[in-house]
Amino acid sequence: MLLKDNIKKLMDNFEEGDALALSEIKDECQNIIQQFAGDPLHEVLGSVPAYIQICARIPSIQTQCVELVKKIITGVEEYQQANEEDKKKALKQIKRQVNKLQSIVEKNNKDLTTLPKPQEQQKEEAKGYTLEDFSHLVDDYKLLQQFFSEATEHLDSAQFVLLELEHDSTNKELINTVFRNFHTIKGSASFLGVKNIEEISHAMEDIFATIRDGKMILTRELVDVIFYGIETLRTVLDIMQSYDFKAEEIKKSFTTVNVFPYIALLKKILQEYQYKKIGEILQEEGKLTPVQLQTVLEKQKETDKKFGEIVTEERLVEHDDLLAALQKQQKLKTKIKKIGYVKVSNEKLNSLIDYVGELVINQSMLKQEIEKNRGSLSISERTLSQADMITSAIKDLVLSMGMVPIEEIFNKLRVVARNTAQELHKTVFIEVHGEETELDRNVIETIYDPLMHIIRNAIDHGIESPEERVKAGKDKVGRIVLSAEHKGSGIEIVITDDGRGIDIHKVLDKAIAMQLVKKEDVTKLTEKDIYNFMFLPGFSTSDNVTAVSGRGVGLDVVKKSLEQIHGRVEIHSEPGKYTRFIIKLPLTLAIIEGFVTIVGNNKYVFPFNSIEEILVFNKNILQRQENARESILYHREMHIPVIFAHEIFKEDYKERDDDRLLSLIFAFDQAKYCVVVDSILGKQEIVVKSLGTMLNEYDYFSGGTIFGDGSIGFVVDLQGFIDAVK
Amino acid sequence: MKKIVLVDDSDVILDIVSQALKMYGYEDILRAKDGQEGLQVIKQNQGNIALCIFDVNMPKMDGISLVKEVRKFDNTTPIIMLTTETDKSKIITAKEYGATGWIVKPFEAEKFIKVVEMYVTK
Amino acid sequence: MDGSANKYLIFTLEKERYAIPIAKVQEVISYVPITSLHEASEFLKGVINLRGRIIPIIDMRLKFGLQAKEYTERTIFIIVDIVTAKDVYHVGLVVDAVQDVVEIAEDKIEKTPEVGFKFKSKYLQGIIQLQDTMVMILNFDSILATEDVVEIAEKIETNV
Repeated sequence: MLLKDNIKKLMDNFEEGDALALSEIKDECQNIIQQFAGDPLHEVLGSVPAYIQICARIPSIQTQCVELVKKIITGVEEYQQANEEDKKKALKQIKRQVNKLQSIVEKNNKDLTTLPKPQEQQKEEAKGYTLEDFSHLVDDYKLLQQFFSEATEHLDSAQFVLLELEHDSTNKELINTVFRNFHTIKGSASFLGVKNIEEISHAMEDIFATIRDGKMILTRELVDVIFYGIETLRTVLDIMQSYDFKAEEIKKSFTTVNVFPYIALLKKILQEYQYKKIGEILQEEGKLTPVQLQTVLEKQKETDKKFGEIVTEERLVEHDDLLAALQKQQKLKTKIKKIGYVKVSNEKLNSLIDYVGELVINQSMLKQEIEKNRGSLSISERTLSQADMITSAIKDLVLSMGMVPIEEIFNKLRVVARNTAQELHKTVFIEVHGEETELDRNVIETIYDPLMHIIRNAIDHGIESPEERVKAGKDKVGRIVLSAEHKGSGIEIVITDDGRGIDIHKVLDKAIAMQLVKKEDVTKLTEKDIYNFMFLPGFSTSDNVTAVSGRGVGLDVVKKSLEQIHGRVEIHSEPGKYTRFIIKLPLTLAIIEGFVTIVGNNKYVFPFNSIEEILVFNKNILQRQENARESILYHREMHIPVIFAHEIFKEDYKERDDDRLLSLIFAFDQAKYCVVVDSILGKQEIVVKSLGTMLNEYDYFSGGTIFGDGSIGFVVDLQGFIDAVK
Repeated sequence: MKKIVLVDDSDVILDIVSQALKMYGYEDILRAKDGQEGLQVIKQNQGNIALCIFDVNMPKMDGISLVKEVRKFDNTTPIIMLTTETDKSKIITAKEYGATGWIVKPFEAEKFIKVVEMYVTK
Repeated sequence: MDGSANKYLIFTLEKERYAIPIAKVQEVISYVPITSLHEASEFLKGVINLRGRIIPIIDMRLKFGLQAKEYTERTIFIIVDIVTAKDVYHVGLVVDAVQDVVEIAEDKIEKTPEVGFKFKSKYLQGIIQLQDTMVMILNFDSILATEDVVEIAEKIETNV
């Protein structure tokens, strides 16, 4: 073999102290060892290069050591040519020589403990970069500034393209763009000695190269990780800018930024989520030598057999090992499962959902009609129930198509928060929970603007300046927690900032000045009432208008757009500590759990999840005030206002003979209401249909619905209903 | 990271070698243009040096004398001599004074770095 | 020329004849029971279920301030498309009778004369003489966009 000839020649001509020759011998040894990956020999030879390295410092033992290495190499040749039985013998022989080498080196070297560790490991253990890491940093204002703007541009591009990739994750061109972005950043950073940026962008470039080669899938999670990396790179760039590109100060600051955990994460992702061939896995685990792998692959070309078959036939790998490798591969496959997506326009999806709603209604109408004419028709029970089943399957599927995770919006909000903080020279950390929560597409579309406004508001008015925060004993970095979770049959989105909170007195002063409340009535207001002032048009407590809040959108717009999708918003706050916005949204606009009642001549549907209980009581127990309409029911130690639904819906009210009233007890906005209806038809899944622009003025209806018998019902919007009462 | 000391009377060699070192991430290099200067630098950075590289032929104090002087106070830091084929005879003397090894000029940067790697861990 | 663009559906209210472009008409259906919406404006009678869609019904007699007339099995609903800035939706119109579909040449349509018609000309696209009587071509988009009763009947009353 060529390699061995080379090393033999080197050793034959070796002279004590020839550093160049020694380093080459060490190199050749390493090459030989690599060839035996997976072979028992690999382990035996493993430490030989390290011994050679040590003896480079001790000229007196060099000749002796090289002689031993010579013997070892001869032994390796014998081992290769030997049959199974002789192999063991040869191996033992080699082992003996290696041990000899070891003892000579150890005897002459006092501190063997300083055996070099693999470099990577050292770095990961390190707490961060040292000043030396940046000693190569170019001290050139112009170059660094140029790099700053170039890198920022590439990051902007990458960020933008990534957002597109979220919808089109296999678009080669887009992936390549991001790859090139990081590649360019890496190149310039390495040229200028900005080592931290170089290493992060290098790791990111590797990821995108792997994705480009089809060996990894760009999942939403991965996009998130990359986004984080972009943020990190921006932070590092910001440091450069904030020190006005003065190399010495930048270096010092760089040592405080530890990016190794992130780089390690990227490397781990690269290692674990890459698609691997079964042979690669076997070789990695040392179950197959590279030579064996090569022969199997060649055999595979000649025959039609599968890799696994050949390996078992040749008895190269234990059956269990093969099985384990196959399982590992399967795991990788599921990790990177490829899901094909088809783009559908919102418009089409919406009309599909609409039509399916109609289909569901029609199906139940059809069923009722068939029931009625059972005798004269001869439709089999099976046909009917099958049609039923298919309809409901289609309904579920189509509705799920309309659901998307809120993640997309949250990611965009992160970018917004970052940019806003930058604009205002504040540092803000955004924590996100529950981004996997799914919401109706139409809801998602509408909530972005309100959420964005709340976040910008939080950073502008809520989060204090770093100096103020330090003075108040808070962390310099502001914190905003953004979360989404299922609550009941709806979804709750919460945005909390740990800023200065809301000054209730300021709000009150403003409310009095705007004549929203009389000074003497102030004591009657609850905290909630006071916060609610903030949702009124033209209400802003900010002392000075900043570029951010000066965009002309107030909380009133936030509330309005949320109401459009039947959402509600609440504020909680503690001065000096936090401000919290709680947004409650319906899961979907299309289908709700309804509670069907009859009032007068019509059917009215109430949202089921707000109903606490159904109560029948004698009307004599009602406590009336002077005005007979405002009756109060004393129930479970609470005074609950009684509303006659007839009055709101302008339906006829017929007194019952037995003086009994049928009512629903609602819990809404921390208050309870008792709503009297005529009769109850029960709980039902309701397809909510638009009543059209014509009927929009009826705030207390969120829509209409059609029942199985073809009759129409009106779906009540509780907020509007309660407002109508007031 | 410990430093690498480079002593050579040729600016070209100094530049080429230190450039090669930097390229491979060895950033901290101390340069000197003759044996006396070199000795001073080494004394100043005692205990903080990973590797010394000396030219054999230098003005004021040649490489061999430098080895002799250094070994008076430093017995462990590896010292590599840069030599030419014609000067190889001088190496034996250098070894007797305590030089660790030698490299024949001219050499390829890559191979040179491999030698450095044996003595210095990044 | 595009044929349908010039076709009009003629319907009657009291003694007057009105025309509506056939392109706006989705269909004409016979009476179905109305689910009444109380407190609705006078002319908004309620909603009907048209093959799974909820469609508001407007009584054109009431919309034009005429006297109400009881619905019978022979009452007719004209379902029209209404285009607003926000969306397109359907509305059912209750009229006395549907008379005919006629072709009207664009150039035969006269602009609404300013004198003699007290109702706002924005509710009319124009007028035309057909078989010796006048037919008013309605602009439904603007008629239905207003929540008020349209006093289109001014001239009718003076005629009676």
